[in-house]
Amino acid sequence: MSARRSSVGRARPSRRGDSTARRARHDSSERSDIPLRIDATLRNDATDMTERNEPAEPMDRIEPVEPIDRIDPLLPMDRIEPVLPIESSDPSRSPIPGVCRAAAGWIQPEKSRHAAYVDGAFADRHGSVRHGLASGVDATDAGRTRRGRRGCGARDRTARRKVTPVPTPIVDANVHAVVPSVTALLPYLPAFWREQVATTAFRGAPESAWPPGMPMSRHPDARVPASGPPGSDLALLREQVLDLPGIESAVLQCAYAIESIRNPDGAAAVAAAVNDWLVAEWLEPEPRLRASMVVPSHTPGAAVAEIERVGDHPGFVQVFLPIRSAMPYGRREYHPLHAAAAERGLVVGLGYGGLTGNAPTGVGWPTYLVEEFVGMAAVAQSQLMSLVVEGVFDAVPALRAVVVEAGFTWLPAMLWRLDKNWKGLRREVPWLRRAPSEYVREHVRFTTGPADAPAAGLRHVLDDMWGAELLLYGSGYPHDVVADPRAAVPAHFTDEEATAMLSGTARELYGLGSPAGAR
Amino acid sequence: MTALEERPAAPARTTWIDCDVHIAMPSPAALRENLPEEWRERHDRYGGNPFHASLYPRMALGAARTDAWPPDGSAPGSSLPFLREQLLDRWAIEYAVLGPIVRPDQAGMRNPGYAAALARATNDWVVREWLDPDPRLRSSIVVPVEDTEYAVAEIERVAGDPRFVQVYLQIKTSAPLGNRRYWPIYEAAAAHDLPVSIHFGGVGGHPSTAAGWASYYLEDHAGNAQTFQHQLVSLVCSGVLERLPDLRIVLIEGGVAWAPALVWRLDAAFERMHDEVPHLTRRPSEYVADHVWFTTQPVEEPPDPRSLARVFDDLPCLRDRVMYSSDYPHWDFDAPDQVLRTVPLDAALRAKIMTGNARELYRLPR
Repeated sequence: MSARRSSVGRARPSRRGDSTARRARHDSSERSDIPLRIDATLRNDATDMTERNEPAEPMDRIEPVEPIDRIDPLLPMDRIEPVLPIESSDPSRSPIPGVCRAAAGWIQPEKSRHAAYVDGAFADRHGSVRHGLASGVDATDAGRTRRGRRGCGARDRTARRKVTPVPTPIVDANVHAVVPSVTALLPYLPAFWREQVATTAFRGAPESAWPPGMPMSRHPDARVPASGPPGSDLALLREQVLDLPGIESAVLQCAYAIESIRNPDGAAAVAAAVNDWLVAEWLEPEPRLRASMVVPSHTPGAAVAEIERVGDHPGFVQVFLPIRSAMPYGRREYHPLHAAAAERGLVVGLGYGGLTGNAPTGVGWPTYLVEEFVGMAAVAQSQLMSLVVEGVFDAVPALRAVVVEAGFTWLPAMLWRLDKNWKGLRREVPWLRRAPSEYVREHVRFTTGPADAPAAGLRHVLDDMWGAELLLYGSGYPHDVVADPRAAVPAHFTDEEATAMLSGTARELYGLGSPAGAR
Repeated sequence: MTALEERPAAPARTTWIDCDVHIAMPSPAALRENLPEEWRERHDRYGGNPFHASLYPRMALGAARTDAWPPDGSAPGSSLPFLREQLLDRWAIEYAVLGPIVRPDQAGMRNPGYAAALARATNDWVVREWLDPDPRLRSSIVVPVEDTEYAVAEIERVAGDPRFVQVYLQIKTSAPLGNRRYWPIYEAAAAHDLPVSIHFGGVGGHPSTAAGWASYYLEDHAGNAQTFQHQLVSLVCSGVLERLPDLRIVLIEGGVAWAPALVWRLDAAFERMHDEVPHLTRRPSEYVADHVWFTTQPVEEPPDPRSLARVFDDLPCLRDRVMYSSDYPHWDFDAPDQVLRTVPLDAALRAKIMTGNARELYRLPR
């Protein structure tokens, strides 16, 4: 044991600005210092993972670790060899060390956190976007017709748009980055958790809120990569989303079910690995992408630590919180999380999903998956009520939330009831200075897909919910495949409203698009 | 009736059928007296060992309006003369459908024998103290919902009295109401041509939301609407509405305006996932249209009243399915001459909501 302790000391790199920090973290071949505990609350001032993983308890309390060469034969050795992240030539844009560098002053605080992305890549893209749109869009495209049939009244609108093309750039605020398997995360997991994967039944998140066979998990037009499930391949994402005419950027959601990992250290480690994977394999290679970071949402303190670790990375614009949780996100336990997000200009994204182990309704377990799918809209309502009623938006006025892929047509009815009840019960929640609906209007936005209303009903809903203000275009790829995002624009929207939905609101919310708009 | 005659201001021909009026036993002692002898001691010593429910400081005592306490100090809703004075006579209520609240957590009693004894005691008390003395009253059959056998037995016991017009469940249950464990209750109700009503509240042993316990009564109260949505999804997807074509479901105090959005979402999901529920031969919207009724209170109040009128355009079946309710004597009472007053409803629809739909559902004579 003492030998192991001393090896920890040797392997730990020097404190600050050490560019080998991440390398050291991944280089387990000669290290037996297994991360023992990620004690976020005590050590959230740490500047890198290696330091945070320092054992907080005496080493002799720790179970002996199997030698690295005695791993489960199911996993060939080469799979768990550390893979070093691609080093960027731009020192301000290196992967996770960028975060460390940000903390250490590598990114100038007065400079926009998005500037490194925005200055170069975006300016070029804008030109091509305009060019592409001016050439028009094929009005017979199957994907658009599908959306039109879904009730956005798209066909008429599309026809009109075709004759008066508006060079509206498009932000797709909801595309999925699917972790293909735990193997993809191994390079980003610390040695201890790699070893757990190698020697136990632990394979990361055990299930998905989007079961691969469920029709909603993959649109028939979504291509399946050779290497993994739909949504796990950047090349296909480019082909089916990013390279569509007009798309200027897209926001990745990763619904990897961190919350289903009960072990809080395991959840934190896997969340960190997913975020590092997002940076190295999606954000770094593709400047048009932004991402929602994942957090161990069932352990708010560890979630805050993860936000502090990677939340300053310019590619992260949102914190993904699965809609289903063990306790509502408005509760005070979560206020530090909301504050940490808002402090960094990160939006809180309430995304479809959540495998908490608790029933997905307030009355126990439903029988069929379709019930859970439909019911997710009701859980989103519970979470919005919680955020508003608990006063989160009063406590953290800068906080913005987006409901991702859980619909929006339910919003007006929910607010009418909540506002009415508030009039009778407002003395219970004296911190609310305005009607609940006003908080939602100011602080909450919704991605568009999946649309489910017929055209007339949709118009009623949008009129009742300030729809032109509150909607962000989001395809949900690969759950849906949208050939022409403009076809998702409701027929009665003005060009100005269409622009807001397609890009304006998202640009402002996520600080995208132009240096002037960046925060 | 004299009280009505003393109110010349009330238009003679305006009547209402109130589909949600609560009554309660006047005191804990009265509850004890109504229990059969063999349960009284266990009632004293152990109660029913209920599921523990949400208790929020802001909840009003008895959930009641402060002016709803009878002059003798007994519990709100426990005095027939006071009910006549405050509701039935004052507003010329043609019929009131009672929802007995003996104990708010009655449905959540884990001891099935005790729950059944409470239900029997309640139903007998309703007949004796309410239905017999006032012909304007109808009531709901209280059942121990979590023990299907006892629940069916209680339906069979009292369904012969035509003044019981529906079976009475609460929205918070131990399992989603489409679960097959509850189907015998629906079969018994359908066999007796009784609707199954599902009322706000209850306790089923789960947190109030799918995301855990809400912190405040405001969330809990408004959030009942989400539980109604989950339950309706469950009922539709389970196939019980396919199996029992005559089953009628009444959702009480859960709101109305969410129905179109839920039905749209159900239909859209069904389009892609119908193979998971092959026992459904029709779209979810069709089952809702044929089987589900709604009561108004606490009816959603949009800033623009026209928005509420449009809900009836978005889901046209609601024209035949929405029924007025006041929730007397509770704090969020909707007075019949105030509610929907500003909503631009056509006269025919207004008449259906205020009397016609309930008269048809409950087969109430003119």
